[in-house]
Amino acid sequence: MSKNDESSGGTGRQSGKWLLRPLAVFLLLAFFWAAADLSVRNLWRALTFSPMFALIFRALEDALILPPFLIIGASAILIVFFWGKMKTRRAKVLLALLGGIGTLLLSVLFAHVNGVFFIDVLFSLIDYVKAGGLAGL
Amino acid sequence: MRKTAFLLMLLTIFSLLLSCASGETGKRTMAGSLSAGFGSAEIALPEDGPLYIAGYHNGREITGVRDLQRVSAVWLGYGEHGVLLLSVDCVGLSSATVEDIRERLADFVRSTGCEAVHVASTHDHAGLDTLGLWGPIAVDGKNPEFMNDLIEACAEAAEAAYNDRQPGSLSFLVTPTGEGQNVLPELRGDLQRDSRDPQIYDTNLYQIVFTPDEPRMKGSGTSTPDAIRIVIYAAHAESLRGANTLLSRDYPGAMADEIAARQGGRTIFFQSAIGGLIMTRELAEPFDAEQNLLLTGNYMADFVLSERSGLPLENKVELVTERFSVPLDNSIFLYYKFLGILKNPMRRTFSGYEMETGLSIMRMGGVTLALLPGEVFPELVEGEGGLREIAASHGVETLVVVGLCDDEIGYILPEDDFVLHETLPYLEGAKGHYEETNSVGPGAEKALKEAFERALERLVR
Repeated sequence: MSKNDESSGGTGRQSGKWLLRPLAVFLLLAFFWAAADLSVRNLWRALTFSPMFALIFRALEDALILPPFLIIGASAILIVFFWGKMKTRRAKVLLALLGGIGTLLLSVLFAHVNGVFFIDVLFSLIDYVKAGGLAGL
Repeated sequence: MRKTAFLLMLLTIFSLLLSCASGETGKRTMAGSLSAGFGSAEIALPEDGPLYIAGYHNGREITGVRDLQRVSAVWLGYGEHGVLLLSVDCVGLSSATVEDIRERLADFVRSTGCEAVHVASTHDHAGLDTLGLWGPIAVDGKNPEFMNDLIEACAEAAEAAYNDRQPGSLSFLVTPTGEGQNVLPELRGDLQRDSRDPQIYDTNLYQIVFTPDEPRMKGSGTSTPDAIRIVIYAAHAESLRGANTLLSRDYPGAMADEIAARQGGRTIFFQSAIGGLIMTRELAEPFDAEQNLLLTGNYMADFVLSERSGLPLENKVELVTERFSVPLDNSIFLYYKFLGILKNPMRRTFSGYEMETGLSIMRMGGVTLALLPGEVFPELVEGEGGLREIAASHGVETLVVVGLCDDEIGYILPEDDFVLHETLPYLEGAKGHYEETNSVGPGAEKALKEAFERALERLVR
């Protein structure tokens, strides 16, 4: 990568690399959130025998289970974090666009309609498919 | 470190606040001179469809009208206050619709000193879809105009009941309808049948009868045309059966009409524990829907009118309401909620979703009504550790279950008899286990019993 590439304002290999990284972090974050969420659910099942734990978890859940906001927040942090790394205006525009589109996509994915999260509908559909229910559907 | 301590303190305070706000309402006691009134209103049928018939098949519309669905109301006044009981000829009403009805009645409640409004459904299988589950698959089966008309009919019936009030007294009557116990030998067998083993159901027909002190019409005692009968019986309102496409109130309507024709009097009907699946027998042979409906209505009227005296009830009512959550395991209900078809409030937890609902207990002297939010299996009432046993352990001797009251969360099954289809849980029923497809999940029994016990503790405190 030469300085000329960068100073020419092109979207050379360097800017492409920096664009891929936030996206990867972004997707990893989403993946880990989903995995952690499922693990916590199993943990919750194991702990429900204890009223005290139940109470604490109930207090926590409203604060913690807000995936669209978490994702939007994480996306904003990523954009801010990588903003300085983007050396050209075009790279910055692309990062902002990518962050925005990614945020929108993930928000839709995790969005809740009528109080039910799409991701849960998706998981229960996957359960049907795993159980061999697709043929029946 | 300070931040952590502060956060922990906040969490503790929040937890304590949460434990205080457990969804209970205080016990309300009303006593004083008793008055009662009856009101009824037709639910107007919209001109524009679709008008999906509830209870059996998806996407099937009515083809005609036999008799229009109605709302019946009873006002029970104790001194300056009172309770309003509404019974709607329909398959069921979600708590969200019940809240809409209560909102519509807000002025009525304020102006009449009404302490509680309870709305039950007759579980009519020949009425329009009021839950949204019987439209084409994944399409809301409710007709919005009809739902508005239903709410307006509730308001009309409530006003009529309040304006009709007159002083009098209440009594509690029990009529056996089982084979060998009843007064109708020509019936040959029980009036009810149970489509699922074990064969357990309550064969008694319960009545709370209001007798006016000074009847406006000729007659005396419970046989006066002025009498108001609150009838409670366990049998799905589907004597017209599944092939019917005519709009009707089914047997609760036929029974009320027959009683009115024989001696006058006003009747309001409530379902009892009908899960698993309790319905009336086929009485017309060979089967004819209209004939079967009339026979069922006639036998019901025979039973209602056969009892003339009962236990006098004191002029006092005690009420408690308990909010509780039922773990939602039924993914079909989840999809329907996501699509905005199901209106029942739900909340997400770490273990999945929970459906929020509630129950009430209404003690009227020697009789206690359990107002439950769905189709309870009789096994949960009569069995070991059942509601009747729980009630008895709190000193409640005579318990009468009223189902589908203030909410319809579907069947409430015994957890140890909860079997799902192996590959299509809730979409298809396992053999002999249809009821699971229309239930919230196996956790409903535990949630209901615990809430019932909490409510009883507050009632007897």
